[in-house]
Amino acid sequence: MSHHTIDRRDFIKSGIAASTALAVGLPVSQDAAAQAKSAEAGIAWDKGVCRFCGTGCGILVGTQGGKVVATKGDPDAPVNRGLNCIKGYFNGKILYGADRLTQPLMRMKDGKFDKNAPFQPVSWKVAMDEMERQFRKAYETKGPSAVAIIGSGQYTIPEAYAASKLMKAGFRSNNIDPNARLCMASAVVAFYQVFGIDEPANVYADIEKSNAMILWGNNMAEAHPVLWSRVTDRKLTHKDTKIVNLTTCTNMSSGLADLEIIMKPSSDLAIQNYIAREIIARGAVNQAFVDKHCIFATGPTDIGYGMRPTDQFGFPAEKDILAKQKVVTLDKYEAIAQRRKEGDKVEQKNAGPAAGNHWSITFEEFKRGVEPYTLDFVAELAKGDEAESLESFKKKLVALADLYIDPKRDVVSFWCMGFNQHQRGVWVNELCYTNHLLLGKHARPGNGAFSLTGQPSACGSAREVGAFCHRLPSDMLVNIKPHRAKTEKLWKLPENTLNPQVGASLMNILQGLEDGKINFVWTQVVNIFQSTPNSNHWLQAARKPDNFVVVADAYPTLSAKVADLILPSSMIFEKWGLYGNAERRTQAWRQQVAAPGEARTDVWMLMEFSKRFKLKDVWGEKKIPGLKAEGFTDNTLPDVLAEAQKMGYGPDATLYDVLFATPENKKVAWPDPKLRGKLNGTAEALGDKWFVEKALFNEYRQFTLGDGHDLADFDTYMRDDLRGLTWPVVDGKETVYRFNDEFDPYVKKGLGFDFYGKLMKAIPTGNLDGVIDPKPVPLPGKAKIFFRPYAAPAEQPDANYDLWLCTGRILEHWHTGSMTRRVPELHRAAPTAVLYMNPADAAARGLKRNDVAWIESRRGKVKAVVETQGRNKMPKGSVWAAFFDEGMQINKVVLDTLDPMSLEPDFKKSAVKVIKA
Amino acid sequence: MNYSGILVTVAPAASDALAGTLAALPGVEVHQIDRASGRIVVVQEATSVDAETEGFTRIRSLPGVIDAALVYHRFEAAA
Repeated sequence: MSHHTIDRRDFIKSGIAASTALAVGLPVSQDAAAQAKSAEAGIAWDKGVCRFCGTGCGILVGTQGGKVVATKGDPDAPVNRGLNCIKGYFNGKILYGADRLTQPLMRMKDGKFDKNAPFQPVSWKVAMDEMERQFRKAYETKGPSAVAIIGSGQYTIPEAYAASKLMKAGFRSNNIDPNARLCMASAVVAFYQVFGIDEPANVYADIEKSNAMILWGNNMAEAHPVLWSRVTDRKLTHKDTKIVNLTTCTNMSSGLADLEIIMKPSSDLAIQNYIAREIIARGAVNQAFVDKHCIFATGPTDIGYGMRPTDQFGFPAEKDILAKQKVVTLDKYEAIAQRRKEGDKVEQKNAGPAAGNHWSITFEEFKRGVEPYTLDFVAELAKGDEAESLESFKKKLVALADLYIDPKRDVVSFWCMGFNQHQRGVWVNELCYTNHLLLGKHARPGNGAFSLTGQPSACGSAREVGAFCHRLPSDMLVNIKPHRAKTEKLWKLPENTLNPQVGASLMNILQGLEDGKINFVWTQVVNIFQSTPNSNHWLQAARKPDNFVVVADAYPTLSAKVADLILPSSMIFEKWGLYGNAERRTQAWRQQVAAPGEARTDVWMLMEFSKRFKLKDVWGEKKIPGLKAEGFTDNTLPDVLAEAQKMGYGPDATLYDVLFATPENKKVAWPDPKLRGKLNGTAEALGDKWFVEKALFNEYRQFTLGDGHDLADFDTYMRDDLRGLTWPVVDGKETVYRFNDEFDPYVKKGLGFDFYGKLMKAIPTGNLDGVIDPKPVPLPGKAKIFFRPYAAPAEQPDANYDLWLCTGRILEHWHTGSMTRRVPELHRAAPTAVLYMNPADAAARGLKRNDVAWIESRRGKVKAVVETQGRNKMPKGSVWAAFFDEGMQINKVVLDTLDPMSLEPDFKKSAVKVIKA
Repeated sequence: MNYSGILVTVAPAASDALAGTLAALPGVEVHQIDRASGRIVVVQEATSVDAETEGFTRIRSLPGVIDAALVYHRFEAAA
């Protein structure tokens, strides 16, 4: 067939069909293959990584004429094997939205900044001048604690590293925290407490090795669609594979599930304990594994809900819930679960940092802890659909325990936000490890408890780089002296430059804007005023006269609208970058196209800002209210300028010279003599002929070597034949299963397993009620099997706010929709956002499908369209809404309780009423 | 104009029936059916991001569709 005889559209479509078939390994004719090729004539392809969820799919990016014109699933990517979900489609599209920001915008009146004026375009110089002035105002009057950066799990690795280094080493402030705090902080604390090191032991390839996959509050079909495609394929090709969906409503993942368990909010804690009790009762403990590799542990239960200890800033209606931070009255289930009496008033003595204390207990004590979690008790507590019989629900719980315990079952448990965004998120993460460890079904092919993640580099950038208020790179912490010392050595800083006091976590930063402790905030790659709960408070705080909010973004998000200065950012393929996904896979891409207009990379913005500060501005004595640490005068960071002088840094050296454009880094040349890739937005705008992203990555890499976090160098990840490596990368080889001597070079052969993480590896000894011997006992190589009880949600439906509200994500939109919602329809007057409801609940409120209703809580109210059919089928008593929609900011309604250990909010358990609008 | 190559997975026995259903959707062409594995390659043509997204969601939620994965996207200036 001649190409001239068919029209161009048909030609392209036939080519796309053939390319699609080829990408997924379906047979195509030679003719069709040739057609696929010629339909792509003129398109240059290069490897890339999807910038949306935490799965980390490989995509091929097609450019033509300086624009991205096509993307396709990368058949060579082990994560997705040619597949993509709908969000893959947006990777190209997001670069070209009609409302893309292309120049800095500042609130201006009469040629000057005015907080109450509308936005006007300004030059980068004017923007940065004002930014510097406002930063200095806060920094010089209140010190390093009054400024903050809110970062992101969508940071590239060099971005996270540059921001972290500038704040911690330059400004000596630990007030940098990413939106990853909102999605996986609970997972991290559990990794620290159980294994002493962050991130999963297992990999996605377990999907094809497992025959029982358990989803805990993880609607994988919508939230991780490509992993779901792999699960689907496994299920269809291996009939014996069982899928369990534990959820608070029937969702898209239920379709494939053999067992759907509709549970009440927070009852996952009780169900996990029921499984543990069954494992013991049936004699199924893998004694050899547990004896050799584990110990038992527990911690305090009176830990509050992560709320402020004061209700000074609360709306009147919020005060009853805020009071629970101090005293909790136990309900019937919580009393049984914690071996106490119903109605007991329990003072929350371990609220605050003490919440994370824990100690070892005996197996007998552990057994005593899980004893109350009988089938009868847990079924009554956990059954989430009143239409289901108790008998039916009990059968399901037994079937779930059967799957875990059956020695012929290779079991993977998956979770993401259902566990992490949870008032007891750390506990429930830990309980999942508890059951896998009791059975010895962890860190083995096809067996493991697998914490998924929601953002493309929550692991690689936020977690591994340590762009948090308490962390330094590679699982080091700001409040541990040897960790600071190692960091100061690698960063070539004078001793005690680094601030030993944990900074403000994300929600604390927003609270700081509200209570006046923080006056300058710079947000990067994040839409924080839409994505945080109880947002009426933070929206108002941003607009307080003393506060200056800088939002760097590619689009005019809700956050940009409440900012004072908007900086236009380069997006994914307009910069060089690396991401790390949920299976420890670090992947890289080259810059493919130039950013539009005056948009610049976030790395460039950080570099330019750092040029404006001299050492004498930042390394003199600084006041840090509340600082108390060995080797420091209280409330004070020492003057390190004299020491700096000895190291060769004069007081007039800029932070750019000292932290970034170091002699070593400037040797890393741009243009790069070896790598393919002609564009480099950072280097071009900076004009200094060094390759910032590469130099910073290779500098960061030094932290990772030799202690179990090893990464390869920048050039390796850029290789055309490589689709990422799972760390630790030792002698050029990736590690598939961590802690397992067959796979992990850090485990001595013959040991079987070695849980070698170093954090929290010496703990006191006690029983279920507390510490008996405070002397820390070292437990090298051991994992901790935690007992953690059921705890009731802080806010529950009552006579006034009579429904549960759960929020989450849907397939075709991602997070706050700042990239997937760039369509005019967004601004339609009528609400388009949907509230999923049970038809009977709707009818009882005089509502039917497509009616508009108010959703109201103690914190605010928003309007939505009632949906009684569709993808989520709610049990009576529960409603559900997605959080992406700027047209319905559901977070105005959502409760802002936190897990007290991880400081991650629980977006899943608010009480609301729904009224016809 | 946006074009998407979509891999649709269905129960193998239902391949032809679903292929018929898919072909009847607006902007959707069925290009290849692998009856042994229940995999169908379709190409969807749409004029806007919204139409593209809605079309994909519609395919994925068709009764009998087990999974739908986007594989290929191509954007052309208005045609």
